[in-house]
Amino acid sequence: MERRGLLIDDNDSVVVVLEAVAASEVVAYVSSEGVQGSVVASEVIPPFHKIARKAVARGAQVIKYGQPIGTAQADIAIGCHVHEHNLD
Amino acid sequence: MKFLGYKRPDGKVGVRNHVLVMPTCYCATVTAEKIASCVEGAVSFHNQLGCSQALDDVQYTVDVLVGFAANPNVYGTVLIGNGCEVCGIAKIAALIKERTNKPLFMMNIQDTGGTPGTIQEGMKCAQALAEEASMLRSEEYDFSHLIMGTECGGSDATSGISANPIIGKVSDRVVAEGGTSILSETTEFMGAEHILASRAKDEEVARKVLNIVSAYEQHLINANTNVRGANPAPGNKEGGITTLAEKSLGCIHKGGSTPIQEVYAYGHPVDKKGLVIMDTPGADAASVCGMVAGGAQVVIFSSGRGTPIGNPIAPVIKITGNPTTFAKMGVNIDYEASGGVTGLQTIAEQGQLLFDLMCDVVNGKKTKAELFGNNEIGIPRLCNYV
Repeated sequence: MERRGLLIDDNDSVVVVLEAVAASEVVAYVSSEGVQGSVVASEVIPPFHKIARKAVARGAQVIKYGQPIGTAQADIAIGCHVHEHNLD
Repeated sequence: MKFLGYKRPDGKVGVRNHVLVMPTCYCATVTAEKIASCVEGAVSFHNQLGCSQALDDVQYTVDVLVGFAANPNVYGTVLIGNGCEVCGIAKIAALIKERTNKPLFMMNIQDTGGTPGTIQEGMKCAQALAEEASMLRSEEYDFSHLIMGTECGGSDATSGISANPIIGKVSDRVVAEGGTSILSETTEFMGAEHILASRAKDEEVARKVLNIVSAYEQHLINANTNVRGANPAPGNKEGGITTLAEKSLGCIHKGGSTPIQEVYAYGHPVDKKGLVIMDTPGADAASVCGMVAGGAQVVIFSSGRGTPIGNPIAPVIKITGNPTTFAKMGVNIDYEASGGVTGLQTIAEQGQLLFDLMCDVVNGKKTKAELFGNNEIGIPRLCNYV
């Protein structure tokens, strides 16, 4: 099933999911300016949590709101849940 | 672009035309409120301070009282004192006169026949001012005369991703039109202060941004409160917030994306155009009060959970990013800014609609808080009463 997401800034590496997402579901997102895209979830993502739309290497910055919000603690692949286990 | 406003003799332009009946201390509060309730067009508020305060706290109170009287939404002021307080009418009047030449009356309860005599005299003064004020006709002015405050309170997961980014679009538009937008709530900059500082117009302003955050943080640590250590709270993390920078970015998005032109102390007069910062608490009533004392004629306030609060002098436009909250208490909320969550409209589209609503309110449309008479205030304080 297709789930909804929000891309806050076009440069963001993560999308906020707007409803619960199960593994292998598609997150279809829209940006603040109306640009559309999609990403396939590789795991469960709870509502309002972040899913990676770009790969982020360990040690690199995760971008949300167009700004760095923290450092990846592991290699983050596209479709992964981004939260305390891999971001600080 | 233009808006309808009332020209003041000091050159400023109001979007409301209030007579302010202002208690300079707590002893005068009930009397002032009774006077205002008897005169159409008069406003007042509950002042819990004004006497028996440490000097730094006196300064906060003075800055709010003087700033309120100088706010362009006020036609003229009737100061009500008791007669022996620290924030006495003569002292407050002298400071008001340094800022504006608008009409001003004053009286002490101790010298005006106690409560009944003061109510009678105060009603006469307020009525005379209200009659004069009613003769003014609004005219068109450009946005260089407009200062908008931004605020968030009772936040939830929708605030940072929908309502606040939508306010940010309005901030950008106000700045593009030549006006001023104030970003406030220093406690909510923590974790994102370096990002904010990087948006300052020069190094001096960047240093001021970092300084107000570190000073506020140290002040709270002195009172056994470590904001940085306790944040994001477990509830924030359940809601998907991972880092403090991320949480704070959700708050500071209200300021939009333009460079920060200046940093102002709490309640101090705002005189620059563009996006500016004011050093205020996260406590919403106190933060709104500081911006209104600084000259904001209108405020946009996002609340995910919903709140009824307003301000005695400036219309407070309340919005929520949470459709459930809007369904439950839309009677207190002026706009449902849930496009980021529902996907029914984009943040850019809703920013345009909210800007249009802000223009309507500036041009005279009453906010939900105005219609219900919500006139909450809050004045910051550093320590106990003396």
